[in-house]
Amino acid sequence: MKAFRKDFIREITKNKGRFISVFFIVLLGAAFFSGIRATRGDMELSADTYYDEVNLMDVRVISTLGLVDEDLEDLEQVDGVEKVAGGKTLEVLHKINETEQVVKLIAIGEEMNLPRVLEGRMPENEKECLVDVKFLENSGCGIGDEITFTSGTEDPLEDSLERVSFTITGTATLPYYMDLSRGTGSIGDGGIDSFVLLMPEVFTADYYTEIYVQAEGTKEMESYGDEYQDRVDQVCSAVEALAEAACQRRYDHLYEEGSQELEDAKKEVADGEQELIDAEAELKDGDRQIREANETIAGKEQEIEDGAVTINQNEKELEDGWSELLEKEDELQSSKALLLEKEAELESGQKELDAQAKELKKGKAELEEKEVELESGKAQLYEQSAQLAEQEQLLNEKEAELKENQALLEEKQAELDAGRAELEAKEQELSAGKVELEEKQAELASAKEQLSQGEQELQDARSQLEQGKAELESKKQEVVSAREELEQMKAILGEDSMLVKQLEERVLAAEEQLSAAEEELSGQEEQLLAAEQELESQKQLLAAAEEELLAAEQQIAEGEAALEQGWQELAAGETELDAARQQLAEGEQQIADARVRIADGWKQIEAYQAQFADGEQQLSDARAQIQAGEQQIAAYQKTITEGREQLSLAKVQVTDGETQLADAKQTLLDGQEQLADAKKTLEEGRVSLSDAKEELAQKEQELADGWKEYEEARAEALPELEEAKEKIADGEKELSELEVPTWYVWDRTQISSTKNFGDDAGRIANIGKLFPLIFFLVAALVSLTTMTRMIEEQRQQIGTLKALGYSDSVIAMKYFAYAMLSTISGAVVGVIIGEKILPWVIMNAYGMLYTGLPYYMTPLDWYQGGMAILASAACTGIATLAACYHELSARPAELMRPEAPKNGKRIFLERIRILWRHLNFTQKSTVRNLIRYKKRFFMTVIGIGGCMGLIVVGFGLQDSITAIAKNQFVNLFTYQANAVLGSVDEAEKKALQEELSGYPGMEQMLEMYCQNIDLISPKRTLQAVLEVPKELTNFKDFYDFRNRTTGEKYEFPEQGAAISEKTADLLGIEAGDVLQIKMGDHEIVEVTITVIVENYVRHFLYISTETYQELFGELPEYNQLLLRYEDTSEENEKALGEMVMSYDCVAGISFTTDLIQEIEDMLRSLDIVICVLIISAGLLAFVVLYNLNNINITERQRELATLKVLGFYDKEVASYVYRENMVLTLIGIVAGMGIGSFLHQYVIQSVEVEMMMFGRMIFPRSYLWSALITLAFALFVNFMMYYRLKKIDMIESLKSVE
Amino acid sequence: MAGYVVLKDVTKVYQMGEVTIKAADGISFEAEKGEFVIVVGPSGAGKTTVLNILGGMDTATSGQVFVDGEEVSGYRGKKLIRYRREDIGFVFQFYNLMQNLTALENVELALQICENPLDARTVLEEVGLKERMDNFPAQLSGGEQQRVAIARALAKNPKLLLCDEPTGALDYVTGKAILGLLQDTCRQKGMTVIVITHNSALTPMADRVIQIRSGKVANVRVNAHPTPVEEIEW
Repeated sequence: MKAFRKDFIREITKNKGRFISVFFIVLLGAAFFSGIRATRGDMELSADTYYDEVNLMDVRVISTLGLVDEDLEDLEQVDGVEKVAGGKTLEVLHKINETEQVVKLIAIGEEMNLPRVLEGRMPENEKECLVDVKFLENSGCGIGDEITFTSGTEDPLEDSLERVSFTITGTATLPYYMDLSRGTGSIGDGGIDSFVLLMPEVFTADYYTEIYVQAEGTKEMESYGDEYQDRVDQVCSAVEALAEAACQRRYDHLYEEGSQELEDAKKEVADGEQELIDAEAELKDGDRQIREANETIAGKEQEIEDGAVTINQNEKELEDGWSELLEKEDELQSSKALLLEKEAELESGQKELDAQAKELKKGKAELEEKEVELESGKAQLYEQSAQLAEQEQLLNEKEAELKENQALLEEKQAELDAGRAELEAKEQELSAGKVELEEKQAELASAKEQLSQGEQELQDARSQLEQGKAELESKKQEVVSAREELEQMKAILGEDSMLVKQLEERVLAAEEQLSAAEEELSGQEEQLLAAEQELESQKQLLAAAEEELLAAEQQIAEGEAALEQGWQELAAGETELDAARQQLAEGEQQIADARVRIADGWKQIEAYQAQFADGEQQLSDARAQIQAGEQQIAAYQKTITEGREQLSLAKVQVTDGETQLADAKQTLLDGQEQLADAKKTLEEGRVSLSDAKEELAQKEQELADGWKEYEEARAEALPELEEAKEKIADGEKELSELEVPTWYVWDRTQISSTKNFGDDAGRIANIGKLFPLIFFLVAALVSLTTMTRMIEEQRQQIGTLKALGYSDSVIAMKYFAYAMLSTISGAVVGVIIGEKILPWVIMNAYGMLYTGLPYYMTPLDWYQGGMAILASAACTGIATLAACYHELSARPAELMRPEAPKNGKRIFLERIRILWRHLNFTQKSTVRNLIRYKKRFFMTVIGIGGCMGLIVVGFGLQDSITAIAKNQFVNLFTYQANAVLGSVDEAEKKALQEELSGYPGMEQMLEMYCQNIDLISPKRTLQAVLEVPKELTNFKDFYDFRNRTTGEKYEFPEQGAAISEKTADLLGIEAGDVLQIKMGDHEIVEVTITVIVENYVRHFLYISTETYQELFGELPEYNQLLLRYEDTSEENEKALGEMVMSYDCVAGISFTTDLIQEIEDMLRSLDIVICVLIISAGLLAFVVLYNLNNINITERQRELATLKVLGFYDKEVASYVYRENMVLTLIGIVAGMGIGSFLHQYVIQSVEVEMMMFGRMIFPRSYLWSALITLAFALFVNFMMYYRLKKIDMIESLKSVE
Repeated sequence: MAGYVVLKDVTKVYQMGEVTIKAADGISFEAEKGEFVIVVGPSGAGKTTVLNILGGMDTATSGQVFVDGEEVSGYRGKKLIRYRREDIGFVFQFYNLMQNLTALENVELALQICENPLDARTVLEEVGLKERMDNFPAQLSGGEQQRVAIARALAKNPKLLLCDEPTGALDYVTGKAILGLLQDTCRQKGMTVIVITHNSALTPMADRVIQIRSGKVANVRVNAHPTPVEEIEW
């Protein structure tokens, strides 16, 4: 078993390609299968997480008359309600530059619907706000800017808000505005552009616009699950049960409040009137009092005038006394100043003098120091000059020594030169000796050569001789034997026999010859001996010569050695000499340096001497100056002493004058004080008088103002009072008209972004039903082929194992385990990758639409993953076992032989002679090959067809979806705008129509009645829109009634009804059937369907006014106005919208261009999903083609090698294979078109939402693109195969059969 | 350099990982135009290697090969393919016919890439398959299949007909007939035919016998009077 396991592991490692290809194919299939299927759950989970995080409300309650705290309390009591919160909103306008947008102001929730801050921070006070990202986009404002809102109605904004300007602190999203739409409103052009979040305190209203409700336990549930919906439905019905009582209470409250307010107002008016009368009486009383006060004041004034005159006289006298005193004082002051001046002068003179004396002393000390210095400098200088002279003497001695050395050196040089000449002569001699020696050596060598030549010759001669001797010996032998023979013969034949005689003669002759030869030989031998001797003597001579030569050589060598030594000595001498010379030169240099130094020393000494002379001169000059200074100082000191004496005399005089003056001053001051007291009394009297006057004037003014005020208030109050009276009358009327409010209880399905997101997730789930399944099947098919092929390839091995006695199950287990290992590992990896990447990609695509969604969660969905893994394993597992079974059922002996190659067969086409003959040779072989490998044919066609089909579906979906908007709003609804009329005020409607018909570019208008109804068929009930045109004459210009498949145009049915196509489908009815209609409170009526018309969005039922009247017994209230005009530019439509909305009767207007845009935006996100599908399908096509091609080439290696041996060029070999591939690809593409259009129909119908019908057509362009993409992949794979083909080894491939 | 086919010191070394295998180790021989040459030797001696090199299916590691005065051993790539295409006819032990082409079509397959081919039908008639032209290989006996293979090689009108154990998979009688066909072709058309066999009993039928042993030429013998194959027994 161990070897068996080894074989298994090697099987994987050796055949990595096969393992990997199965791995990847399964991976791709499993990734798509599980990835797309897991997307719905992931999307819902991501949204649910977000909703839970921000506490998105489960239910919203809206009332037509607002909601109050009592309602809140009631709702809190409802079973299943966790908590409730009131919300306030207000629609306002924001204008900046040219742009205006409708903004919904929303109070920031504290418990529910929490905003999620994207940038910046939460507002901290009433002055701050958070804004929608769209607000910034629309207005161009930024964080930190201040924004101001204006009212969209006649009421000023200040009535509803504490303030109208706010600072932006950041951007935020709200959970119920997850997509780009912000809903509809009642001001501006009818649509809300963005929202702004404010602190709740900013809103002044005392009621809530809406109440948010959170149900118990819903947070733990999945928002898009049935459990959740059931719970919320329960809560909704419970809330609805409360509605009536609450509405009545609100009505009562409002009614009472209104009545109370009216009462108060009436009372207020009466109070106002009374107040006016009281005021007049008071004013008159004031006038009288003022007159009396004026008289009293005049008497007091006279008294004060008299007192003032007396005081003036006394004042004059006092002033004269003062002026005299002042004159005296001045005089004294000036003499005192003079005295001080003189004293100061004297002091400064003394100070100066002291300073000069001090300086002089310092100069003297300095002078003495300098003198000492000069003396010591002189002594030093003398010493230095003595040293210098000594050095000079020493230098002269050294120079003499140096000169002597130089003479010695010259002598040695001469000696050396003589030695050199001698050596050269000797060398010459020696070389002459050498030449001679060589000549001699050459001679000797030639002599030796000659000698050896001689020896060789001698040797030859000797061997000849030996040979001759040997020959002779043999001849002798012959002769002896001849003679013996002869003797015998003689004995036999007798001597006389002729033959014997002859023989004898011959023998004799031979014997003679023999002896002659012997003689010759001995002569030769002698000669040889002589030659040998000669040679020996020569040899000796040569040896002597050689010895001589050796001696000569020895001599020469000795001479050379002696010479060498001589040369060396010479060189040593020369070196020594050079060293001595070097020393000499250095000594000379040193002496020269010393001399220069001495000269410098002398120069310095001279300079010092000159300096000393100058110094002495300076010193004597300084001494003379000091003496002159001392004399001057003594003179000055005397002058100063005299001045001091004069000054003390003057000081005594001044002190006497001062005492006299002080006495006079005291007398004057006493008089002044008396006068001041008198003046003060007078002034006090005057002040009290003027205060009294001022008071009087003020009172007078007050009175005048009072009169004026009274007049004004009266003028104002009178009309106001009138108005108030009128208002009271209005209020009374309004109160009587007050209606009981209605509650709307909405759950999350009424929040469009929440609902749409759920629908979109559902749509992806629908795609996931079939689309990835096909993917998966193609992948499974390919891995199946690969495994089958592997088993077929190894049939011999299987046979061997069987022959060895392994059981079938063990053998099968090997392949089964191999398949399982690659499949399951591929599937697991695929599931992980697919479930992580695909939902993420798709959610990102949707992210463009749902910008508010912050999370893209992709947990592993083990249910879908497990399905994918199980299905892959089942597919390959069963295929492997089937293939094993097929092989194992054969006998080992059969298996050991290679599988017989498939036989060529005549094919059907050949029977059609005419056609067959026209095919050229290679075409024939292609056709036969295609039919021969049937399995491959079908595999490739299915593989390519499947992939092509998927691409077609991808493009087809795009076609269908993009077709919706255009079909519906351009081809079918041919109007450009639709104004919804609210309260139907005939006069206003007429005015609007008149203005519209005069509007530039306006072509036609059509009034319609539009109402939501329920259609009931035996099959089901469906909500639809009932449309009733006022006139039929121009109806055709607004709607195109036609049959989708035949294109046949229909007239508007005067009898019966027209119904939209999908509606009819869903209801299961056809033309001629009867349909029940339930409209509002009306009884159910029946109508016959006459035509079914093409329609893509929503459900419609059209009937004429006459039919309506027949059915419901009344005329319809036309509530829509359809408009046809030319210019659909944005500016024009905006202007038109504003104009139309300015009429009160218009509730809203929608433009076709906006609708198209909206739908296209909504569906654009699918584009990316489709792109992903197309790319992946292409990828799969690539893998399939590559794999099949690979198998094909391996299977037919022998055939291809034969072609190569025959001399087919690489290109020809490749085209032999490619031709088949291309034909298969083309067939696959054609098949794929069929598969694609079939799939497309299925997918469209399952993807479709109930409200819409997608286009059913695939454009030819999409087929073309799909075919091109598939073809491109095929070409690319073929291109890659080219190198595999090139690498086929002929020798290896052909010898493989053994 | 007189020979029509000349191999000079041809060696072929295979590097199998760390092991070097010398399949041909300095093989030299010559053959004249129109000769029937038998290369004989035990299995693994390097006969097939030599034939592959000669036939342009493989290239020599060193040495020179001349055919009709052209040095073939230097050819690479497209030139080598053209050499196979124009100058060489190959016959294998296992025929290597295209299974889904009829006998005639198999011959035509070779012809469509040739410059001056012979007529396919004539050649098939010559090899004695006049009646079986439209049969598929599977419907033919081994001998017949080999005849088709020979016809396919001959129809190209090559300079050399190379046969690698052409009778290896055939029974005695059929084998003999095939050899007879080859010998006749050689004689009548003056085609140079080189046959590889491990059966030395066949050697008398050749004009020239080249014995190969362990990658070397062991002996070259020229038969002045080759024996017709019919007279050889083995």
